[in-house]
Amino acid sequence: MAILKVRIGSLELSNPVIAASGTFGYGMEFAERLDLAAIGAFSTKGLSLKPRGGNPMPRICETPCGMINSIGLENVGVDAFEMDKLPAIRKSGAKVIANFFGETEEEYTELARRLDAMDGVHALEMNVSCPNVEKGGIEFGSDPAFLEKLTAGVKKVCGKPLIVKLSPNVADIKPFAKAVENGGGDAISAINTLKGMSVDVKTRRPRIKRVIGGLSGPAIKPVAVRMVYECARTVKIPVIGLGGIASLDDALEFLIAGATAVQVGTMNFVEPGICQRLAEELNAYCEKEKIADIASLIGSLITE
Amino acid sequence: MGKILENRPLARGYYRMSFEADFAEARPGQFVMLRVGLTHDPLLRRPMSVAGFENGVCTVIYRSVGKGTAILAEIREGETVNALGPLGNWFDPPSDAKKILLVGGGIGVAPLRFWHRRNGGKNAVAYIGGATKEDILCKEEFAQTVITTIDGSAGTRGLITAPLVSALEGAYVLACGPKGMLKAVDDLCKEYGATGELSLEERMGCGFGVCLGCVVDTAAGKKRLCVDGPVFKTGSVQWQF
Ligand SMILES: Cc1cc2nc3c(=O)[nH]c(=O)nc-3n(C[C@H](O)[C@H](O)[C@H](O)COP(=O)(O)OP(=O)(O)OC[C@H]3O[C@@H](n4cnc5c(N)ncnc54)[C@H](O)[C@@H]3O)c2cc1C
Ligand SMILES: Cc1cc2nc3c(=O)[nH]c(=O)nc-3n(C[C@H](O)[C@H](O)[C@H](O)COP(=O)(O)O)c2cc1C
Repeated sequence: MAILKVRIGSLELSNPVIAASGTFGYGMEFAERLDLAAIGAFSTKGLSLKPRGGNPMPRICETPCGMINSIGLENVGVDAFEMDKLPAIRKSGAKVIANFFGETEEEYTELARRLDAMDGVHALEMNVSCPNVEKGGIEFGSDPAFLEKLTAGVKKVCGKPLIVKLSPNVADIKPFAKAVENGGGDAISAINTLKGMSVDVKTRRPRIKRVIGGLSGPAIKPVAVRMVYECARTVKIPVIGLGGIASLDDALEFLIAGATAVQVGTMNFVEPGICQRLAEELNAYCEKEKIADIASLIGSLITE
Repeated sequence: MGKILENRPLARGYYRMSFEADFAEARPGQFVMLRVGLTHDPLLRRPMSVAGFENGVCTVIYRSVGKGTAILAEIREGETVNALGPLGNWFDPPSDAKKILLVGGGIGVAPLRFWHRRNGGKNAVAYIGGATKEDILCKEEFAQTVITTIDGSAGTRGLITAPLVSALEGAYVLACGPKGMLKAVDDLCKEYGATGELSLEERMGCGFGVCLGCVVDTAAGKKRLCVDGPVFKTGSVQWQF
């Protein structure tokens, strides 16, 4: 066995393959499809203080090598997560990253406080691609100064590793990566979905009800690799890379570009066992290539 | 991965595919998610009702309507298909139902065919509607049928809901078809004193309850069509178009 262990702040993962938020439910949905303890970790569906019903249908459509979604952050809420979901997950041996979002700064800190106190939650992942109702609906993650302040405020109440998940819908992602580091965030995950749109030309209607949604899947991979590369060169904290990963080579691309770990999102829908397969293939690859420790692969991009 | 034993046209634009399943059983009303091709385009699996399941062989009946189903129709017998399933709930009429009406619109006949193969008896009548006679599938497989087509090329001209009305009193309905038909059947059941189950359809991402792409509003709140359905009781769906 090659050493596949990686560190995200104080959390050690047995391997760097993580299932991405919104594509892995609350974990147990996958218990019969893979061994939850065999993957590095999984990130829960984004949690809010109160349950949310989400957006009107249609919520998803397929595009070339990808899909657009506008689910509307539907989730059971943090109380039901703690009462109904967490007890079973705790027994499964999975490492759990609780993904969360709020509509105000206050909600973010309150959620972080709650999740930090929960036995069975190993790290927090803060989704900042959400509208701030106190600031006229502009996204939390769209102003570096504000993002730094939000990160610092949340980190104050959060002893567990805090991962901040960046939005790719900005002109330059580097100041946002820096803002997370300056605010005391333990890691960055990038990228969330890219804003996208698709039109049914027969009916002249948008193919999802909310018109604009988030593009994910293999189609976004080159954009994601570029942004992960830029983040990793900007900060010293670990960067978790995601966006379009569907194969071992895809995961390797992110690691070589500087990601400490990777997440797999949309492909969980197509191949529910993919995270475990990639973890196993990563091990086989390291053995074959005589890479004793995955650390030597991370950021090993050759540019000259 | 299951070997494809049969994949051939059934009628214009319709196909029947049978493959060796890597699951042991399926119930009428359940569906499978089929991977279409080996590339990432199309990316998502396509949901298909189980139209038959015998001795480990799963059958689906499908209509070629777009990119994915066109590729499916090109796969040759002897090749393999990757099916995830069986998924979702199933038709579950009360065992003492006296009169069962199977109401199918177009390709919606697929799960009803399976139900009939397993349970069909003297008390089940199939009401099959389609646009033209080419869209009336599997009619010879049902013991008793009532047929309608919109153009009158088979059965009575019109919608299947017309002949259904007089049979509804005290009946138990199992229906699958376009949303408009299902809503009409739902309304008629209420009006004419019938109950039953409706198999719904929406675009799906995963098929096993995690993407939240296929929700339905019901009397009991938001439900996921793929795991809480696809079969819902009459009178429970809050229809939205
Ligand atoms: C539970 C369930 C069971 C189904 N069972 C069958 C079956 O037994 N036989 C069968 O032929 N079809 C069935 N369908 C519909 C089938 O999944 C779609 O026709 C298929 O996914 C279309 O794929 P495509 O790539 O060919 O079409 P696309 O190129 O993706 O789209 C072509 C057209 O099909 C429509 N469409 C796409 N996906 C769906 C969908 N999931 N539901 C409804 N319309 C869709 C699109 O809006 C578009 O107008 C079922 C759907 C569900 C949800
Ligand atoms: C249906 C769906 C729901 C998602 N929900 C969330 C969410 O609740 N919180 C979040 O941070 N990201 C969410 N994402 C984004 C993914 O976690 C991921 O960042 C993105 O899809 C890119 O990765 P991929 O190309 O591997 O899917 C969602 C993505 C999809 C497709």
